[in-house]
Amino acid sequence: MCVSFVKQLGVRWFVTSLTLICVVAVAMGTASAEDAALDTKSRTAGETLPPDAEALARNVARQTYLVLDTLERRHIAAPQREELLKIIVPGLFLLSDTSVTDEIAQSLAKCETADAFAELLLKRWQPMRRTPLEIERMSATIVASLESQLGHLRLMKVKEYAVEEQFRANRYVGLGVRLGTTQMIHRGTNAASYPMFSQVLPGGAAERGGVPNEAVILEVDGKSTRDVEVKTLLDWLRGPAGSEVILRITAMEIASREKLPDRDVTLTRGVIRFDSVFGMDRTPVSRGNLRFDLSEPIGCLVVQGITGSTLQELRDAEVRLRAGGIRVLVLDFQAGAQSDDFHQARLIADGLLDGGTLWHRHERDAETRAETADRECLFRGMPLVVVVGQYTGNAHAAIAAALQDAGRAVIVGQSPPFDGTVATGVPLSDEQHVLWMNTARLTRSRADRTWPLKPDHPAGPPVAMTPAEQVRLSAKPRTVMVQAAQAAQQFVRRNGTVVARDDSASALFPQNLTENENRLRLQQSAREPVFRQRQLFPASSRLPESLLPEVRRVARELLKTLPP
Amino acid sequence: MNRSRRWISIGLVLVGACVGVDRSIRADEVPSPRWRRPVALAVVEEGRRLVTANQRGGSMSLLDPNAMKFLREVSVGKQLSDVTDSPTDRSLLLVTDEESHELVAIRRIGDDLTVRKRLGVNPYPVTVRVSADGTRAFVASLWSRTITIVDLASWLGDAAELPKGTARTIRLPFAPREMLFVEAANKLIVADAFGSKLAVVDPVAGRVESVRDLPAHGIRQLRLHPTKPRLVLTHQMLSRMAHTTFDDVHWGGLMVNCLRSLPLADVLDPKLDPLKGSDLEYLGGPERGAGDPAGFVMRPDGVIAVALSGTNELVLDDGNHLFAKRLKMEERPTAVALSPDGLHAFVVNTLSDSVTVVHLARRDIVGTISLGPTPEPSAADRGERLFHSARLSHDSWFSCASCHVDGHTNGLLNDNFTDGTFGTAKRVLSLRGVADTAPYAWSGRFESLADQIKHSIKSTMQGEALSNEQTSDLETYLRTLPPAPPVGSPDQTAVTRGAALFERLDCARCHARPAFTSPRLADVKLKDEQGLSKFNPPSLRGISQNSPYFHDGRAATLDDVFTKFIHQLESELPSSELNDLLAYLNSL
Repeated sequence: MCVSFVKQLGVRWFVTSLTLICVVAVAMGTASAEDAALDTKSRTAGETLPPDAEALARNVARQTYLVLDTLERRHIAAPQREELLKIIVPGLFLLSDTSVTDEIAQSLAKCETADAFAELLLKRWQPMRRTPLEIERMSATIVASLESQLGHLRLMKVKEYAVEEQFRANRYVGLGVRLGTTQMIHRGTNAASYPMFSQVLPGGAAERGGVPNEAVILEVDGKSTRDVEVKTLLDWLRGPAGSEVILRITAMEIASREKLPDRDVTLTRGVIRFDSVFGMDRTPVSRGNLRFDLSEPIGCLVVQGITGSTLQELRDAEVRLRAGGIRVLVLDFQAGAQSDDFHQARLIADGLLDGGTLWHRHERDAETRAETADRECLFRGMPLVVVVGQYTGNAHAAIAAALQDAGRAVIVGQSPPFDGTVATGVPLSDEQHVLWMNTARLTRSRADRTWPLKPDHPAGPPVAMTPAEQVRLSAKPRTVMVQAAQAAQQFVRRNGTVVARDDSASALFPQNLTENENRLRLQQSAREPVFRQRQLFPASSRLPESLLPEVRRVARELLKTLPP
Repeated sequence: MNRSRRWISIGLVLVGACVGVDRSIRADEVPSPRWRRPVALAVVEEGRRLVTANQRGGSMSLLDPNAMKFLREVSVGKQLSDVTDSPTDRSLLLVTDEESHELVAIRRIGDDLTVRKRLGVNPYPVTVRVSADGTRAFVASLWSRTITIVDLASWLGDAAELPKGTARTIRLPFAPREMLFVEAANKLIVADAFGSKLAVVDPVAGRVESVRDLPAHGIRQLRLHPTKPRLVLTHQMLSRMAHTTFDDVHWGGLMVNCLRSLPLADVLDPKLDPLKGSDLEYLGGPERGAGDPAGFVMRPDGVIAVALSGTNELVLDDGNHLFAKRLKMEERPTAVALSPDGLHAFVVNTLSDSVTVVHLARRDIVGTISLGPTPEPSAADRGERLFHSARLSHDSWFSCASCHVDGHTNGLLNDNFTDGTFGTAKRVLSLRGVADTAPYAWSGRFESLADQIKHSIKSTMQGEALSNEQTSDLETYLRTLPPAPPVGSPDQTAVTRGAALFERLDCARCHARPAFTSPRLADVKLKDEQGLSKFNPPSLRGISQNSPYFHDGRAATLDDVFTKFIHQLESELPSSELNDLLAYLNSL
């Protein structure tokens, strides 16, 4: 399954899906012998727990309480610990072949410490195997249960989060490849799985090192890759900027492989930059077409992602637009990128506005504050048309709303789904994990406007789904997580409104959905950061023909308002 | 008696005249090594001679740019800050002396420079401009926040006593530095030395017509565009929203270095908003920061040359707005002047005592003229270089001096991680008088200045870690910075009453003498975005120069501190007591 995921989605998706494995594996590794040796005789008669169950329970409990501590501290809508525990307990028992009653759940929820929680878990758990899959499921249920009530939630190792941060900041360090796997018979051996570079990206270390597309990797720094797990392979391939890795590669095609010997290449890992702003038809701004046609001074920039470099890319684009005599600018925010970097969104909205309020920000235990723009303004004097749609990312939508409220831009297209909820990564106190969760809510600067953003000129059919989205939506659901979420929901339903549901969770997990609908919702809220794929392999985001006339009409109207 | 006390006792405008004794060093003499610190430059004799004003040397140096020769150095005063020539009397040079609080008239005959007259002006004069008809000089005085308008005919005439009205004072709501006199409108444009203000002054009516807040700080030069009716200025922009992370620094989210032009008519008309017609050019970018842009020149054909005082470079543009070409200068290029024929730019390298001549058409360096031998830099000298070096920051985006302009503060908010949080932007603190104010940072997190320095370079500036020697040098330099003097000289009786009130209210509990601070954390009951409300009390020395107030600048004035926020008071003070307390604070 993992291999097929990698084939379909590329390396980033897979890294994320492995996160939970890493989390628990670390926790298991730190379990003390003392924990494991604790007397288990006091447990319910008839239970024969394996020796490691105690350590497992303690680590699950420890992990749980770390997550709960963080939620209580920063989550925008998380209730008190007892209520949170009630949410996750049903999911924890899904895997233990033990049914959990509300009474058990209530008693577990009253545990004040992780150790007490672990003790109770052990009393109730049936013997279980401690396979990696079980462990993954255990942690997955915690997160999925909570997510069913609290909205976006993702637990990551710090290292994984750091990689995501690299993408957000547009300073990803790597070889510049898309990783896949292939089944191959190599020089008389039995067929086996080998990693391959399904795409070598321009400007990356692999391209500079002369590695061709679809090169198969036989060894990494002398270690055979034959049937090696992708997670292990990623650990081998990753490293800091400037470090070297030696790959033994061969060709995927049999004909080529037989003619050429296997060869070693030494690659130096480096920062790989991805543009987030493009001209028409996704042409690079530096040399691309930035206007619809030569007959009118209406420019167009496709803002594919919201990353650390986007503001700077817009500054660079402005020089070219002004040199080209552009007077009205269309910013295409339709990109399906699931932009979620609200820090950068804030900087970009500030950069596009000439003073005024961007939005009001609400956080847990903090005063609501207006976030305001300074007077410096990109594209000054250039009226803006912003095109949005149902695949417009959240950070894009927040920017568009700020521009609309300030009267800086006219919005064309369809409402994006953004509901004002802001997710960010919050470090856990163990300093080894980061919890991605909803930490703030934005309200519009115009009190008479709410989410979702409503275009000034509704227009156009939905943008066609890109291949990446199709892949994501067809991916196999993680059944256990769906079950955990459902169990949590059922529990909440039975026990009344004990949990203050988060708005975004309502959107993701409406109470009255069927199981199948819930499954789909879960898929849609899946943890894979699809925008990474967009950054690596942007889909064509040309304005659809059905939308173009309206966009140009609005732009022309704005042009008429300008002095000659 | 410290400097601030001295000028207060002299009074705000002391007008007098005397003839100084000048010492001259010719080119054929071998002077002993010393620092001169040229900070300003005048191009005279149709570009055949250059004259620098030397801050540390208190002298002027005369150079021959054609022969690339040093000609002579003349001692003029204590701490020169600017020099300009008169448009109508080409042999007259006017120089400001920041330490003597004087405007000095220099007569240049051939290659001789002779002090002709001295005039006491408002304390801390830093810039001088002369009207095109040569009748008036405008002197900006930094800490006293004033403009002195000098009637040159009255001053330089032969009358034994100065006629009344020879010098007039206009007060400003900020500390000024750069100025530009717009002859056609008879208006003076004055820029904030540290922060974001830009004022238009009517010198005839003697009043400030408008004060604008620009998205800017560190304004280092004002010029009229050579072909368009626009005002052009160099400055930096600090985002209060950006974090001092590697990413925000790297991508220019935190600080950018700019050349801005504004429609002149909109600047001059108080009813208009000049920012509506603003054009902004970015002088650097990722991997190529352009820290601390300073002086610049513009030619009618679009050629622009801007000194990057933080990166020791001159960046050139030929009208394509790319600012791609850079030339290596010496240490801290600040002032730039254009030769009358427009062929050359002359660049003052302040911290290496030299002037570099650049051929603008060839876009290369003709050569560099040394102002004389210099000694081995002391620890403080080395620290001063480090303080002004943008190379200490990631990709050379900014230096320590970018936020702590001239060791003071740009008055803006910066969201750094010193308090362990982001999203809680704090006011940039002045480093003047920082020596005895431990612990450091708003959170009081750093016991030693060295620790604060190391943290700032590594975390806030995202630079490479400093060596112990570099840290020590920077610390030594910072310890030489005196507190900012007070803006004015409040009524002494009110000051005395205010001092007693300060004691009675137990203000010293947090703001204890002599530095008017304390090592503790005080709960000011004003929370930041993360709910923190305990901060280390900032020193009150020079507090009249440190607006806005509190950790996030929420109090615009000292008055607001007590009237709007009732700072550490049980109830609002009666107005008479408030005035006394303010008088006392404003005297510190």
